[in-house]
Parts: sequence; C-alpha cells; structure tokens
Amino acid sequence: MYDSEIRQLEKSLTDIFIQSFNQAAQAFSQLLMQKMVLSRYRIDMISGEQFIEQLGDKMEDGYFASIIRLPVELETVILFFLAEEEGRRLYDRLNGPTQDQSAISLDDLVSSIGELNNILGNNFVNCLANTLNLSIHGSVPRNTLDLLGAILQSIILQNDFADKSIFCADANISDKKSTAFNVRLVILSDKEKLMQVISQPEAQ
Amino acid sequence: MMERFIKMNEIYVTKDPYLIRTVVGSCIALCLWDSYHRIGGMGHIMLPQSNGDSVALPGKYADTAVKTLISIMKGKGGVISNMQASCVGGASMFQNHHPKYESVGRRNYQRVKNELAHFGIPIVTEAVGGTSGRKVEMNCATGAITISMLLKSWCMEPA
Repeated sequence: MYDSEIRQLEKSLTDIFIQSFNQAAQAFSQLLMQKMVLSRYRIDMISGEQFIEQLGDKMEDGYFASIIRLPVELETVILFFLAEEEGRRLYDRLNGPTQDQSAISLDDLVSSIGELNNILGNNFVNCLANTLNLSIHGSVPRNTLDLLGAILQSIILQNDFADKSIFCADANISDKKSTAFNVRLVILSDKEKLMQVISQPEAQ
Repeated sequence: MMERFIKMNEIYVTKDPYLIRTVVGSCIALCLWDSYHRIGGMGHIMLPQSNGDSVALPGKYADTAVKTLISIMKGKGGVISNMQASCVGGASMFQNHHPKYESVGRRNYQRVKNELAHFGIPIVTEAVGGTSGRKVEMNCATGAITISMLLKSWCMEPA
C-alpha cells in the first residue's frame, strides 16, 4: 500500500472516531438532559503499554469500567471508564437520588456503567458499520469496578495489545465546565487489522 | 519511609528502607526478600515467555525477569538460599471471547512459579487468580507484604 493510501485510510478512520465521539456526546446529553460535549480527544498510534503509561498517576484509583469487544477480524475494544465516585453520582443522576445508599448493590452500579457503554460506545460500531456497509455486532459489555491499573493491564494483555501498534482513540465527554461529569471513551484497535478491513473495496 | 511505584516491566531492588508498591491485574508482581541481608526486590511481570529479543526489557517476561531480579539481588549481596518469594496478580478481570488469551494471568503465574522452583526459592505468600486487581506493597525494611483489593486489604509479615 502506498503512503498516500495509508494516509487516506488513517484520515477516514479519524473521521469515524470523531463522528462516533460526537454522537456519543449527543447521546449522553439526552440521557442526562444536560449539554455534554466532546471536551478532548486524541488519536494516536501507540503500543498498549504506552497507552497505560499515559494514565500513570491514576493507576491506584478505583474506576468503573466497561468493555465491548468487536468481532475478531477487527480486533477492537471499546472501553468506557470513569472514577468510582463519579460513577456513583452518575448512577444517582440516571436513577434518581436514593436515600439509602446501602440499598444499591455493586452489581446494579456496575451494570449501569455497562449500559452506558452500550449506548455511548456502540456509536462507534454504528459509524464503522455504516462506513463499511457491513453488519457489525459488538459483544455484550463486560463490566467491573476495580483499580484502574489492573483494569487496563488486563485489557491490554487479554487482547494481545502489549507490543502491537494500535490505534488509540481516546476522548473525554463532559459538561462544558467539566465539573459535573467527565467520562472517558477509548477505542483500542489493532492497526493492521482495522486498516485491512477499511481498505476493502466495499468500504470506499 | 521513602516510597516508589514500580511500573510495568520494571525491576527494582534495594537495601534501603523503601516502601515499594505496584498495581497488578493479569500481570504478576514478584517480590523477593533476603531476610538475612535485608534486601528487597520487586518485578512487575507482564508476559510469560520472552521471544529472544527481551534484553532491553528483561522485567517484562517471566523467564527473564526472575533471573534478572535474582541476579540484581545477588549483586547487592543477596544469597539465593536466604531468599523467599511472594507472588501477587494473575487475575482474569474480564471474561474473554478469545480462549487464546483468557489464561494469560494463569500462564504468567505458572511460569514465575517454575522459574522460582528452578532456583529453589520458596513462595511464602500467594494471592493469585480470581477476578480482581490487587495493589501490593513491600516494606523493604521488614519484608512485610501488604496486599489490597479495592474493598479489602491484608498484611503478611515475613517468616
């Protein structure tokens, strides 16, 4: 493949990432009935280890996280995560404030975060499917509340991303002042496989 | 007490009274303690097996990390027969659709265990497997290991 073709494919993918992040922000706004915006995004080609390094100072903190895995030929993971305290506030916001916090089970909290990933993360699946003119189904979200370092390591290792060059499309979606909610949506994708799929004639 | 966070693939050994710590999910934190010379070391190991070009990052793979950690401990005056090990991590936090990668935590642990057996170093503390990440701290002045999960923690003093 020529350099110019590679650049064109990278540009197409970047457009898909940005479009899906904007749609996710819009969906989040509708859920919260509050304006949420794509406050930051970054698209890199890095290794899985470098991705973890970028989040260095948060490794020991508790985070809610949810992953959706795309079919094997795409080798792509959609990761949605937010700090534990923020996740609890978000749960209250979506379900109405609960007087008795002890009545909320951890399973309820964690599965709520998974549902959010279903709504926000699947925007990428839809954008990609529309571009490729294919039917793509993401997995059921897998959710957890754990130490961020442990979560990210497991995702990187279980998807064999440690040494590979991966697309890392990383976005923050927040209210305008980033004071209420600031969630992170990250798409990690095997660069070669994604480029291969998107370069198919039917995707042009 | 001075503190240090051990990053992925890093190996750190000290004779000073450091509190060294790391966070592991599927990775393995291997702590070695020479109780006589009071030398402590930790490796944060990612993968079970090197592919031959691991010289730049010997701490990344179980097969090279164990040898390197022992070698650095010996370089600081440690003796293998005084060493004892603690292994923490090897969790499977997200159930996986790819059986090929599902057991990476277990394979990491198995390889570390085999390497330690090769050197005759006993494992005195194990907190391995399961579905939760762990934070591990080693007090290099006493050899005590503290392991925490998000909702609970416990401490083991050396024998």
